Amino acid sequence: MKYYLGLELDADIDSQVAAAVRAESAGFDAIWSTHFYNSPFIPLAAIARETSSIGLGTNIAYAFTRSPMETALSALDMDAVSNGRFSLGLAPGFHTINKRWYGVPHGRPAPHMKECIQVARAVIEDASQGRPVTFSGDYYDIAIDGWHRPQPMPRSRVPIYVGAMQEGMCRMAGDVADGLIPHSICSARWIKEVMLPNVEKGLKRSGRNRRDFDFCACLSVAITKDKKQAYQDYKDTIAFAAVTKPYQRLFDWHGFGREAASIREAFLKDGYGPEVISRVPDDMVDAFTIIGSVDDVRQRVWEFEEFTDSVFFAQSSYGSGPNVKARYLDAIYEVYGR
Amino acid sequence: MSRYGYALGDVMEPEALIAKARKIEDAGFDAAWSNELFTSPFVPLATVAPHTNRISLGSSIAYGFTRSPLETVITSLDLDAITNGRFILGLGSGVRRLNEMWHGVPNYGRPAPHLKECVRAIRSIIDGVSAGEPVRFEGEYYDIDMRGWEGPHKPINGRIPIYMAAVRDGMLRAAGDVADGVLGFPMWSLPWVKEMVIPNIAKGLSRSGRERKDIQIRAAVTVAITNDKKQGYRDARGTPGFYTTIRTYQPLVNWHGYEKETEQIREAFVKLQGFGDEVLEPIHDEMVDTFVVVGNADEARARVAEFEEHCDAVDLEVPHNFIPEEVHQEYENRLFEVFAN
Repeated sequence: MKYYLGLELDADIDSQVAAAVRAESAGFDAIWSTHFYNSPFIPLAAIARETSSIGLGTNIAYAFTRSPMETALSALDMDAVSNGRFSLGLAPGFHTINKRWYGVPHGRPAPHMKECIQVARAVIEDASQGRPVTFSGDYYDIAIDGWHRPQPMPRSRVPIYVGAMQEGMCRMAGDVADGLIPHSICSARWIKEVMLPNVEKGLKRSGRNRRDFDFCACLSVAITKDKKQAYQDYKDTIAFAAVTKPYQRLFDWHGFGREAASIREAFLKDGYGPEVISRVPDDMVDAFTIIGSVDDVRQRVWEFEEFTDSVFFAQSSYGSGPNVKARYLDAIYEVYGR
Repeated sequence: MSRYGYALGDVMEPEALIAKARKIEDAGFDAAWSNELFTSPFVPLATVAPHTNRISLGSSIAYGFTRSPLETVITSLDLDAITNGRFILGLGSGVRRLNEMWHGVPNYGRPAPHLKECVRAIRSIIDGVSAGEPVRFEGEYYDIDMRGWEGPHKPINGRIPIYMAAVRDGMLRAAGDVADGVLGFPMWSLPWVKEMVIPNIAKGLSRSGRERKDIQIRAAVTVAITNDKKQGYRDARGTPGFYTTIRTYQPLVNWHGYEKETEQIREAFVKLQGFGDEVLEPIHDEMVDTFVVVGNADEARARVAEFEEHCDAVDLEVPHNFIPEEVHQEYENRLFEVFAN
């Protein structure tokens, strides 16, 4: 079983480097960057110099905001400066962010992602070696000839992960990717009943086995004696997802459709604030987080480990403040650090 | 004091990359540049940033159209933070074929207006998010409408310098319009600098209400320092040889009166389906002299100084196309000896 940690969404780069150094010395297997306030690649490049064994990945880099060849070049560079420790995690992001913020097309997410991964992989594995690459799809029309990568590569391929939740994206990941990291708003039931069967379908399509694939559970974990406070702290994590419309289906499926709609309604009316967070009931927190004593948490995380290959400990709630976040993280280090 | 820049080159092995950056800083140069062809333009700069502390670190160049302006912004803000304000974002359009066929860029359009708009979009985003305000940018190539993204880090010095790579008149004027600097092209000859570069940048500056001091003009000069001039001319042929085979740059070569040579080079290139001695054959010493500085240390200093009369800085290069690596290395060593400040 591999254990992963993520970098904080809103920390300065020096703190991110310090977090990665700490994760490495505690024996975590990989640390993953985000793409929101930071570039997914630059903080990891800084981290690569200060670490020597921990895996470095993007969880995730938006896939459509740069050309697949740009993505491939960054991945090749990251693998070079980390001496073969890099994993490229990609996800489509949201329609609004792609269209309005980044000004890039957002097609049908899974087919668009699939093409993006195929082109990026072809650049990393084939074009780098001087083999011409041609690709003609619905989203990309590429012909690379007369280019190669003169720099020695630590590995002939770079693992590609997909950030996925829904059926189509899971099948696509099983088809063309090396691993999958879900959103942290996720349950064991959703993974077993929806995600894994579709990953298996994809794997079958590409003639691969389940053991060729790193299926990661992404878990919001609070190891604490004060469960009541933790429920309160993690309401923010749930609310932050519930205000985003694409997650409605997930909440519906888990029987929290009405609550999610009410949370979003409050958000649309007055913006993100205490009223939005107060609309998250405790049982909704319970459905998507693991909160409890060391033994409780170990037991519940272990239930995920039975059918996943790795566990990603998601950042604790966004709004709980740095001290509270640090306390939850310290507890994870104590229990899962080596 | 003279300002000289040098490229980090196509190294990617971290120790070698860092050694190169330190060599550039220790020589007293003012900038180290990372280019985009075999590597991303940005990751190498992040690698060398903590191991240098004075020189500017810039992309020369990053393609402008192969990532969205916001993608370029977040990368630039991170590099600005990591270099403690020493990052320069150098953008170039790249040629159409590369944009379309390699990167799948759907709207290459007219490169100079497109790149100018790209620079403006990047500035709007940085200024907007630094002020905590929504960003609305509407142009011919970009339509950006951002709310809810207030970047937690602002540029260290309040602003990230954006330079544009320019070869011909339209791009030079566009750079004069909007850029904080202009990155030279290895085929800018001294006459080209005097008759094309300076006047066209001046036009851009004047029509945009800016002044000469608002822009840093950096020449790019290939220098082959040697006492064996005959060998120097041979070794330096690769620079004009390489660029003359690219259609985009043929008008520049021809402007210098080399139509016949261009034609011969092109024919040989088509015949060989690539480079070879025959491609370099038509390049005579006088043509090399036009585009490359060949000579002993004193001659090299004197000819680079001629560029410095018109430009604010010179990014130096040495011959590297179609010569053995150890020969390239010798030219580099001599360059650093002669031009170290």
